[in-house]
Amino acid sequence: MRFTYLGLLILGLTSCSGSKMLQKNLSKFQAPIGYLHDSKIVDSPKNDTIFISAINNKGIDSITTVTKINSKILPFLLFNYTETNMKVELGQSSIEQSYNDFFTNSLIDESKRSANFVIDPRSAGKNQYSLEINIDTCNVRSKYQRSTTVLFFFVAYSMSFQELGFPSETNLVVTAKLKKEGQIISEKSYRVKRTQPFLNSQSIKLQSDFTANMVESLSLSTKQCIEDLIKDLNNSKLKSNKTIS
Amino acid sequence: MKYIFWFLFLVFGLTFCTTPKYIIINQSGINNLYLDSVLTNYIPIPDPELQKSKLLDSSYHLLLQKKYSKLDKYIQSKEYAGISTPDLFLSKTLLLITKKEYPEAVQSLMKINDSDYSLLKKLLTLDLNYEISRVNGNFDYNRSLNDYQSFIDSYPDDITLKKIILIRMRYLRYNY
Repeated sequence: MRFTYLGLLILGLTSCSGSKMLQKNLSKFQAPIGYLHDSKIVDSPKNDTIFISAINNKGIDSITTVTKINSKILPFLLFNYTETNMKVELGQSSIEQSYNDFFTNSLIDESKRSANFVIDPRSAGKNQYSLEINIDTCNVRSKYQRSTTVLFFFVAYSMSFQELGFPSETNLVVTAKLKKEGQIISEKSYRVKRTQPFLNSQSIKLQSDFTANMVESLSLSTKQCIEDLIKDLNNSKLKSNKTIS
Repeated sequence: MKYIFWFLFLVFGLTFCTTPKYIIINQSGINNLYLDSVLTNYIPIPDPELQKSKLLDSSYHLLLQKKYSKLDKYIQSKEYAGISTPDLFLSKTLLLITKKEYPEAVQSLMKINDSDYSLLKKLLTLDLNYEISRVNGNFDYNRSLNDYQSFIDSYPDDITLKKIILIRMRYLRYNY
């Protein structure tokens, strides 16, 4: 009985330190977030300018965190199996560039390609269009699994240790308000949900690839969000111009 | 003695089983690639070029079969001694890239002066710039991103090229 308690205590301590250890290990890796623009370049004249009045980011955490989801133990006489599942949430610490700067730069770059207006990061003056962006939700989650298998053969035993990464899921919600002279011309929320298949190049690079996968998921979700936003702003601007004229 | 043999067999076996950094691929191979599940670089050789050049076609098949020393001998054989055609330089470049001899590959690439290979030459120049910057320890992800961006923007209607470059950028992201 004493050994059972001792075993459970060791398992409890191991699983708790497992998530802390993974968080410490993941903190060593950073991945770049920039992406390749593949939208069609529009040659139409860009007569209007939209100034970015604010980008409020309430969505992304400052550091990447790891929490334990559950543990499984199969304690048989000749075969023991333990499995720990952990939830990883992406934070700014794993991204090479500031997410706000990346969002602003990507928005400007995309506007140069496919918008019929210019986006300027400076604040707007009177009678000028301004864009307020609120990043309401910016969650990137994934699962990381550690398992151990022990096989007993009378006086000898075999032990194997395995780690697995799972596809990361992004939930991005961005609200954009287009204003002129303090009046809201249009307001819309953009929701992007994306699952990024997990790719592992080599087993020794698992944690680095795991971080890259989460950042890639956020990068491509942001790309989709920005492309949708520019399309809507193109239409919104046209409508407002028609109303003015 | 027996154990040493098995140890060496295992070491050499693992060496030859590793996936090369760049895989030469033809048009149909590119079409069958599923973008979300690829983490390897591909060098596309257009089908018309393979049909036009016997040397390039043979090189392509030898590279696919990982018969690098055979290709090396083939390129240096009497049949191709003393000639300097673009397909010979391209075959040499591809072999040198596979052997990770990047500065030598650049020298060979610069000798290709044929408009049919201009797109491939530009792509390989960017790839070799990236590889050399990694070797020299001055790799900059954003600079490479801008270079590849400018490259695909200069061929806006080339969907295959876009696919290849999107895969390249993923490779760069995962090997940062």
